[in-house]
Amino acid sequence: MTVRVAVVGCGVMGRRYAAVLRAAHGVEICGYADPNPEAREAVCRIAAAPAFADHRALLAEIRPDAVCVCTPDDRHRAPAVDALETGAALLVEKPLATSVEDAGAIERAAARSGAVAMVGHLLRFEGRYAAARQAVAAGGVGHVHGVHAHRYAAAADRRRRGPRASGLWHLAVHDVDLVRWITGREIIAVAASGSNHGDEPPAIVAAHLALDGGGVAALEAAWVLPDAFCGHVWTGLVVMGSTGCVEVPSTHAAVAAHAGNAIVYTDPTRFFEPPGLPAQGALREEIAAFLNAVRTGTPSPVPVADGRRAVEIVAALERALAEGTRVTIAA
Amino acid sequence: MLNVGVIGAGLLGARHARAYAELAGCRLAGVYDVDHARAEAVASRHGARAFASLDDMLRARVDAVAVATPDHAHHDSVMACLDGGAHVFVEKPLALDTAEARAMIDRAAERRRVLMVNYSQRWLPESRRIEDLVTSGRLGEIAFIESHRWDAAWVPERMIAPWADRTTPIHFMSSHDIDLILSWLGRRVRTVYATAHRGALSRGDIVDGYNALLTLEGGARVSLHSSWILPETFPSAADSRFELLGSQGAVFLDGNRREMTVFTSRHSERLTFGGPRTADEVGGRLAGAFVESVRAFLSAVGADDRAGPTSAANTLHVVEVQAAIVASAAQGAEVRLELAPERA
Repeated sequence: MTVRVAVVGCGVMGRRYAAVLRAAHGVEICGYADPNPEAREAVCRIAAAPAFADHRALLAEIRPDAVCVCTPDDRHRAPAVDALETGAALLVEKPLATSVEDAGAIERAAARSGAVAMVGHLLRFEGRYAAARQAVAAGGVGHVHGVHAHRYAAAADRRRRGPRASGLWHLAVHDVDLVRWITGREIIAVAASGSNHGDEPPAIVAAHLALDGGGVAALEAAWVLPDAFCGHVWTGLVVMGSTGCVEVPSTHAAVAAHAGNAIVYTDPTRFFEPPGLPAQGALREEIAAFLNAVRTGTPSPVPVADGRRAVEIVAALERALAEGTRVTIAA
Repeated sequence: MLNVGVIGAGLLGARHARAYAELAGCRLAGVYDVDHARAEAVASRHGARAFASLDDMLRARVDAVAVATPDHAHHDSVMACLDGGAHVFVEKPLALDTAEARAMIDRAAERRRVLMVNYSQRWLPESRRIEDLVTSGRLGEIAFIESHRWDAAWVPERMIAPWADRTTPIHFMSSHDIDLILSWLGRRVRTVYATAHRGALSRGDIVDGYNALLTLEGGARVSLHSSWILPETFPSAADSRFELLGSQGAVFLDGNRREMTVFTSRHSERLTFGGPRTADEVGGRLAGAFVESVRAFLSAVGADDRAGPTSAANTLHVVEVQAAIVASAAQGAEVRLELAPERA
């Protein structure tokens, strides 16, 4: 069966979704929505389809089987809830929302609809993290006592996104989800320290997450890599247990091109579109897992409840940072 | 020719003894340890005396003493040596307690003696390179530093088992990291939030490790990790990393592999540092950062330079930060350091 998929929000991520969906078997891109006409034109050049300024018009006229929500992080709720209310399956970009209230509204709409509803926690579909999770689950590392994860991204990337871009919602949310997913343990309290420039969201955050059953996950997110750093992100993750440890080394996946005086990193693991070949990387795996669940009616590969929990934890980190206190998070 | 005595005949004491026996311009006067047989074993390797008591050592007219007793036991030995007229080179941490550290610094000033801490890692070429990158301004304003130092669980469980509960990983291992970061940035720490974790080591009276978040004067953030729970399967006994992010550049150092990646606005490069590390044998002699640190102490004594960069007086803030980390973890709350004006 052909799945008719619409993309709401046609910025960088929306265009990447379109590039992956274009190459997927058994998929018809049935429509787009974005208030910006230039964004609509750009995404139609990737794969032509009816494009609407308002997602409600798209949902009413096209009636898609599935909707991918790629709007800005704080504008997921309306298209996600509206799509679920038409009975469409939902794949919503991470973070699910930027407030606990919005996340709860989407979760309730998903429960009412019964359609497949998935949160795009991309890194679960990157092989290295899946392998780390498998290694922990196999039991060789024993009881997990500590996790250490860092994620640094380019300051230029943050500038491009504007002054509201937050290192917590954009970067740390990845590792918050990875810690829960890889260790299988709940995060029950957080403390954080970070840079504050006036009322701008933090570019740098270092956080301690207390794990249920003991142990600490230490996280660093810094969206300040200088322009000289020609790569996208610099990451690393270590899980320490009573009888072993698992390491996802820094920048392991990147190709280093030594160009003139600079090292230019390309990381093909998330999204990479080589000339003449279909788009590849974790995003393709994520979308494939979503489509498979839609076709077979199997459970969501990343349930909305997981996305909602990540939002609760990041919101708690935001509070811990603002108030300089340790914040506990109700189960 | 300086006569140097060594107190403490463990791993570090033996290393000190060998350095004074091998270096020009000094001689190993002898070794003292509460366990006389251990002192005898180390001293006899170099044809030196094992003293029966600390008083015996001081009566033997030593010019300087290296104090390499367990972390918690530095104070009494240091005070006795200063009172006996000796210059003192003390292993890190200077003290676990800020009041003890201040007492030692004051006594050294009264007695007009050099009191220097063996922050050997300052003499690693990779540390020097980072110092150059930071102080030259090539990285711009440093916004964030991440650093970790992890040791194997056999360090607290076997190597220093008799006194592992008297120190902490923040003191035993991370003295170096705190000292390096403070020396690179030349800024003091304003606030500390730290957590301690337990449960991985077989002995419940030893803390597994600390995670600490530091805010420095000027706003730079430091995330510091220190633990000694690496399992036997980890491919090395210790692991360390530094990552410095500045407005104009960044530097990442894998301390284990000694690999450094540097990004600045004009240049990127990947460097590998070779040669002896902290204390390696080269041509039958001890070489590396430890030996350079010893040389710096001997030079300071020779020049009567009591205010060098690694003098106890100039590194007191390391002890204050360590105490704040332990206090914050115990209280579960942020600790604000009371910053006195810089000592002149």
